[in-house]
Amino acid sequence: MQTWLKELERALNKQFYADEVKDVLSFYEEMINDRLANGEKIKDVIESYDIHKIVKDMTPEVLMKRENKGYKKVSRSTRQLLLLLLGTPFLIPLGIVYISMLIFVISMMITAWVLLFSGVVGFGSYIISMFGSNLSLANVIGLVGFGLMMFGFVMLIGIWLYQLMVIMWKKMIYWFSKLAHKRGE
Amino acid sequence: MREQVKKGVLEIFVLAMLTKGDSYGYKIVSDLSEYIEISESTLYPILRRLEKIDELKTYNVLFQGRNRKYYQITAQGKKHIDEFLHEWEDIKIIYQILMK
Repeated sequence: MQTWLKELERALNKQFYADEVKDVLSFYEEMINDRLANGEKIKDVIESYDIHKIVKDMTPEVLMKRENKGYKKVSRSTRQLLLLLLGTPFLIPLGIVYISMLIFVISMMITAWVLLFSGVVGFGSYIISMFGSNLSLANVIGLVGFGLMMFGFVMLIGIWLYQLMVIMWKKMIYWFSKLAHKRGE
Repeated sequence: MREQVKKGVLEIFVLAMLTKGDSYGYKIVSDLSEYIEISESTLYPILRRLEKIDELKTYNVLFQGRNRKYYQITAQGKKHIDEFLHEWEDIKIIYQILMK
């Protein structure tokens, strides 16, 4: 039994986090113990389980529950979801929609970064050109003020767009996991 | 019973089983297996989902030197069954109207 549980743990560790793995392992350990106590043979009990199926069955459920805090967790959940969607024939159309939406989200995130970067560069060159010009001090102060206002506005749009896309990315993991779960039923 | 219908009502069957009294994983599978085909890998996500949406509560009981997790239906879980049965009645009524 311990060998099988170790095998299950190894398979689960590749996909899930420690607390998620612990929960599944304790469920199956209890189940195996109860089946043995009920007179079943260990060989028959072990043979009745398919580790690959266990991992696959719990993937959408776990992804739906996961909070996905931080880039690493988001990218890991995304990779897992993609593997599930593209690795299950009837979920492939859903996988294609997911990839398309993912491309859109990533493109928008890149756009936000470009906006932020160009905002900084643009504002820098604007300030330099202001002080290099022959304008009066009052004009320079006025134009720098206007430039600062525009710079702040561009930064706000860029950060807002980026954060919106991060939220959308996380929500997509939840929505598509839920859809996969429903279609799996 | 068609596979999709069966899996869609499994949650209700699990909740219904627990209205008779608290139970543990193996017993739930064994009891339900008498009426419907269900495996542990199917039951696990159902139990986790019902627990997450507060339709089930869990507690541990020491049994033969190990912990056994018991599942208990909540008021929310009982409400889920009632709502499902009402919807089912509605489906039957609509079907009967359509068949007239």
